[in-house]
Amino acid sequence: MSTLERRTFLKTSAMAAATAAVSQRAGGAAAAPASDGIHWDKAPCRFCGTGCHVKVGVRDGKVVAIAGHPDAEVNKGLLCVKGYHVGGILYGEDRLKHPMLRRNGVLERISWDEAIDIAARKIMEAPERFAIYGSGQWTIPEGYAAQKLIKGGLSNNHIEPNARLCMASAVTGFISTYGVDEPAGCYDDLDACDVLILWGNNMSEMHPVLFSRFYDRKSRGEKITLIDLGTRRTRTTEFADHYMEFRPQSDLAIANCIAQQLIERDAWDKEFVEKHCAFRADADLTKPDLMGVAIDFENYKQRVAEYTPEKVSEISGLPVEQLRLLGDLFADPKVKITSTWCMGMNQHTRATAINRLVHGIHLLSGKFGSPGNAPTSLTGQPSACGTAREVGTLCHALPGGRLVAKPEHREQCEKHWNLPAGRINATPGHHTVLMWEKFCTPTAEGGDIRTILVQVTNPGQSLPNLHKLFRAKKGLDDKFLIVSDVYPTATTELADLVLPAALWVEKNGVFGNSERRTQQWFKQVEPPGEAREDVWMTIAIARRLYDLGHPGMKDKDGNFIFRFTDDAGNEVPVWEYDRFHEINVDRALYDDYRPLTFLKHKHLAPYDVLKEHTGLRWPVVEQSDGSFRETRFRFSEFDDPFVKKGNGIEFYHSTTNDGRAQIWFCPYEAHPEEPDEEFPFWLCTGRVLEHWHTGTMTMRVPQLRGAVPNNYVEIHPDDAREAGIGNGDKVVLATRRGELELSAWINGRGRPPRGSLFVPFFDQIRQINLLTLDAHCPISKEPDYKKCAARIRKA
Amino acid sequence: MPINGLMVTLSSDSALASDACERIARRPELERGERQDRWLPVVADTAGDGHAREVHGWLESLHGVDQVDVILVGFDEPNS
Amino acid sequence: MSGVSRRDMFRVLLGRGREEVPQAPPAAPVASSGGDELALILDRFCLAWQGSFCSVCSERCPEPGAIVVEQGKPRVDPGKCTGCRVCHDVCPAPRNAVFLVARKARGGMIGKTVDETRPEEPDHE
Ligand code: SF4
Ligand code: SF4
Ligand code: SF4
Repeated sequence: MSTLERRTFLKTSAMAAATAAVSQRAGGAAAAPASDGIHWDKAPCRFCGTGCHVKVGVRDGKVVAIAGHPDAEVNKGLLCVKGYHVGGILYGEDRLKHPMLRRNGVLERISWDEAIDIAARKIMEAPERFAIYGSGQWTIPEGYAAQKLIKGGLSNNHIEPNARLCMASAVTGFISTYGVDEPAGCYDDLDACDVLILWGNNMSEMHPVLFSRFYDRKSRGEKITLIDLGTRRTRTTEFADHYMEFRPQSDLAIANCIAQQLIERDAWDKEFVEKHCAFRADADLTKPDLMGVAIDFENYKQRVAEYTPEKVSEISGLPVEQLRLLGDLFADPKVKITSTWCMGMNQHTRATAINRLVHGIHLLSGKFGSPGNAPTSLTGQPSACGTAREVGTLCHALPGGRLVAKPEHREQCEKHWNLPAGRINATPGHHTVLMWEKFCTPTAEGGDIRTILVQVTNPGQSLPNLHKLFRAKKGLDDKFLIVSDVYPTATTELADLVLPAALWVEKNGVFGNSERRTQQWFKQVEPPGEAREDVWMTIAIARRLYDLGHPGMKDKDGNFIFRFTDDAGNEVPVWEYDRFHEINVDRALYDDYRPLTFLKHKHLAPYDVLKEHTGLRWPVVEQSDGSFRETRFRFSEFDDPFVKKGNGIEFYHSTTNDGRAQIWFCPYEAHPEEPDEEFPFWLCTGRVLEHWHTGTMTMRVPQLRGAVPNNYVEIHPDDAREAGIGNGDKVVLATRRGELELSAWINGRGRPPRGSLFVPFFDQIRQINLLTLDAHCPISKEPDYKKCAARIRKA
Repeated sequence: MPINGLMVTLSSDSALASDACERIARRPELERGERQDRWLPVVADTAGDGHAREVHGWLESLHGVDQVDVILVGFDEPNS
Repeated sequence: MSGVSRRDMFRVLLGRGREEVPQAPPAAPVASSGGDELALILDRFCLAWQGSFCSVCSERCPEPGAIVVEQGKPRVDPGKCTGCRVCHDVCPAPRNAVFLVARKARGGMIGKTVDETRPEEPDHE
């Protein structure tokens, strides 16, 4: 930087400091945003499932400024460090700008026409062996288009989002409890609860703005209690009133212990349970399934009886007093309790079980359905709810909470899409782990997935046990990997065809956050080079398949399945990129999708209504005056219009069709890879505040990269001393699946107890997922990234 | 050549305050930010020691100025 | 509903949230001037002081105890800070919250030196 630039910079900083001081002094009145040619629009933050809304400032075709959206209910103007820099993700130097094809091992630039043609021909060779792998970063229209292409067009169900690695267990938890996915409560519970229990949930690091929102109440002098139930000390622990450190996997026993105490003290909410609940358990523990079998209260009581505080103290390592404290809180009818969780409960070999149990203790204690009383899962991805779960981009699902296995659901979609009856395949496709395993297995040995199209995610870094599930693809010549992304990633390293994608405000989009809030934005800047919208790629590939004669690309009337018309009713060939922007394809897809959300009462707001808001929480229901009203508390008569008057609470999608939710019993079971002599440590992985997911975006923002440039392993000082490891020393971390050299961090940001290690997963150079375990929950098929056995030594 | 970010507290007498603002605007080494209520952010880009003192003294001497707070002192110049 | 008024929510940030953040690369690091400087954290720019979370400066400061963190909020201990600038270079706040100021009065400075202004208290109101 030249002296002159430095000087200008200094002056700007000085003015900013002085202006900030002045604003503060002037009573916090808003400093009017500088109007020097900046055009402001809105968008949800690109990163986490909190779903903060930002104002995006554009000048000369570039995002030049970001501000927290002051009117957004989620964040009220606040952002976390990532959000403040979200515009920077567009401008990394190595953005992918041209389609590329691997020839003789090298990626070479090709034209879009060629790229789309190659992709379509690969699919055409074996449509039933084609798979799509996306994520909760897909916008709703993108996920919907991919879903329609593969299930409605190719009669193939091999489509998965990386949400399988993230939220699948929350889904199975919700469905087996309430019969329908997604939280009943919302973030307003955090404004109203007396006690917040974080179940293995480091909220200040992962959902920081949400945590600020909760903790701000404390700064205002409200009496609220924060309980951090965790397996290591984190940033969040600093703020907790009670830190309860449990042995990994024993959360199952702790939840059962709360139920045991409620029953033993006769403090369960009999009225609530008698009116609204039923009891359930797995029929056969060795083969647990989604629905289980009904049991009666006596049976339930008998089964939880053994989980006394004394016994659970032995299993979990929590002192009996702490277990009793949890019992006291749930037993007190006056205390409003909100539970939140994220990957700690979802990435678990008994993930569905622990999800059910936490719902269960809220139901059993009646801490449900009023503001401040809620069991709420948080999502890691910006549209895990909106796209993966609601659009149902999973191998067993159809849009709007439907299942491929249900004939009436297939029929509804076929009808909606105007497809011939029987077009949609009734057999679920491969779930994520299986899909990649099959892709990495030679065809001759049963590897029945041949071509995968990856959009908006980075499985080459985020899958567990990467050697087996990703890298083994290398050398399998008949396997073809198509990757649409914005930067080179661990996934593009093995890609055969690379498609450069538009990112965030370079395209239109709609996301759905953790609290059922659907948020819309418009394209605000041009993508770089030849980068294009993912939704266009999907439609263009479909059109090429149509031209090649794939019969599935036609509906019942012989029309192309992605037929869009302009206001005059003329078909617009949006697959030709220069015609793509003639109409708002996002809007057309969203409008087409919206009626499918009504079946399970997940009514999304119309596009035009969304446009005017910083998001609305479904069900969004039309009022007699034509306005649209969102719903904050589902299943509660006072707020949810679908509850019959007089019922108070009604689970109107009950699995037992009687308006009841299920209180499950699931036992504590040991982890399949507990530490032993050879591998004496627990290894846990996760995120850091500054980086999001695999870091492909945040590592391109200099401030974020500078803040946390590489990953590391957190270790207890005593363990370090015994192994002769000093702070910052290079160490070799090994599991049964591989080893990795990292530097040690003692007394760092997180502080694992003795016998535990923690490594963040964002680092592309030191990929911890080479070491993680692919053992998964038998019901949700979600792997456990949080626990496996490891050993460590000085390098 | 230091750069100073200042918060100038203006007089509650609005005529005096406006007069002070105008006078500040006329000095080339001073850059005004957006006034909010009684407070005005100002950046002073001065040539050196004597000059800075003079500016500070002058600001404080204005009738429409009640107080001058130094918010930020920039010293990243290799030589000042 | 919650009894929490909209207006109170994120009280700490009112005003600040509306401030736009330039999406620009950070300033290039400047070489340390060797001991005659001291880091100063401006609370109004610091994420940790402004209701968000951050701990990068204290994590990366090479001088044990030079940045003290209480309730998640950092401040510099002038007795221990060596002026090495690491904290300034790694600070990810939208506007760098770490300023390096002279320990001794230097020509042209308006106001007082840090030794005179008790820098251990970030200059909040
Ligand atoms: S990353 Fe999450 S918490 Fe941070 S600003 Fe974005 S949405 Fe909000
Ligand atoms: S200047 Fe160096 S020693 Fe001083 S606080 Fe910053 S990092 Fe620590
Ligand atoms: S690095 Fe910057 S923003 Fe973060 S705590 Fe330190 S001064 Fe504050």
